[in-house]
Amino acid sequence: MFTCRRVSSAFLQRLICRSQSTGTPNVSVDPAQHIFSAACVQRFPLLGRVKTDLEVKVNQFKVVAAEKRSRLSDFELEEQKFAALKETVEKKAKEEGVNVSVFDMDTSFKDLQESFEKDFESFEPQPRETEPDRTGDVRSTMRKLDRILYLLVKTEDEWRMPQGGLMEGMNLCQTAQEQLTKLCGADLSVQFISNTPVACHSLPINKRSKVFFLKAQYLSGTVKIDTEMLEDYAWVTKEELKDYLSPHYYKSISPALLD
Amino acid sequence: MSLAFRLHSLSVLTNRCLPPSSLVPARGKKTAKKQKKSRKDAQKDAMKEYRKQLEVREALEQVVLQAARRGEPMDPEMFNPARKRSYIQPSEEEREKRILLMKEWSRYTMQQHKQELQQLQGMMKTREHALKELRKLSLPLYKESLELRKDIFPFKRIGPVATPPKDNYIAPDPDSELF
Repeated sequence: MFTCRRVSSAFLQRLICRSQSTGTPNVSVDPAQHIFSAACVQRFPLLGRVKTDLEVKVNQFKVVAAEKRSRLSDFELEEQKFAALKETVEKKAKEEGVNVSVFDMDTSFKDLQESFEKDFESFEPQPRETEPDRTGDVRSTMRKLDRILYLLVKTEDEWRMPQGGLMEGMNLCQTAQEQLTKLCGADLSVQFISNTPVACHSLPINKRSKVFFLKAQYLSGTVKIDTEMLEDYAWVTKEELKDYLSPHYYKSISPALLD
Repeated sequence: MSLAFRLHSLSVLTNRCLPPSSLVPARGKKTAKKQKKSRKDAQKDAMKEYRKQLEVREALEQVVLQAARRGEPMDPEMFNPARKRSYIQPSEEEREKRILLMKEWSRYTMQQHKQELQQLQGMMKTREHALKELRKLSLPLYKESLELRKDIFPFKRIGPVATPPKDNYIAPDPDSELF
């Protein structure tokens, strides 16, 4: 008995730690109180990135290399033949002193080709910069088309991703989905990609309670926030997240996000 | 012959000039003096030339057939000398410029690759951390979060394009009669 009592507390602690890490955790309190799940909704880019100078240069070089490797097409062969024929005819006409006007290729075909080229030159593509970009509207999903956008909502005191406490009889993913529809309206349709949380954030008020982030893909619809719980919402890029989120929050979520 | 032919076809495919001596296997030094060819000799030489050409053609056909068997479409017209594109060799400066460009490009892509790897490793690390924390809080939730989602298919994604779609623009339909 005495020897048992003399076991140091540090050793006991280590034993408990080991049992926690390997076996089932002995949680005395209801875990649902400490678990929150948040939806990390991302709008994937609709446009490719603008090419850098180096990429443009390499592209030009690759075009030249491909042309070097290629062979003449049927059309080009025909053109060559016609040009040779024209030359010989003109030479003969000169020798004999006769005025002959020789057509180029098939004129109708040439006209068609010219009209196509004109169409191509006159075509103006839609500018990459959209109206929300110009006006600085953060609530639109049609801003910054070449970046990934993340959905943030504003509570009374801070910006964060839409989150809520664990619901009864639901797993993390189902809870996140339910909370999202509760906070941002049923019109917003998203697709959750995985059941696995991508990041974890411990709340500053109570370190034991944790928020787990689940990634989802934005499909369609607009956000209609629950005005009782939230004040505002925004679609922002990873760079802009820094200005919105608290440093602690940003530190725990940013490694899981792509630029 | 087959080796010589392979060399030839290689030169055709890669568009690289090989010296004509590489087409015919090298023989001993020619020591015999030049003599006037008799008519019979000339005929023999012509026949030899003709046979050589025949062999080349057969070998070419075989290459094409083999490529077809492998599932690679290969047009025999590729070997047609009339289709050879006239190509101006770039100057020494231009060539050096290109080599430097490719070196810079490889450095750039390497950097990109490194960044991507770092990002992926960071993502994996945070995910593992999150799973560990979840396991500490609740085991059933942890087990459930490891399950695969089967409802992610059909997976929709509008791919990135160069410019956004134009408003009120109807693309011309080449199948219609009006076109």
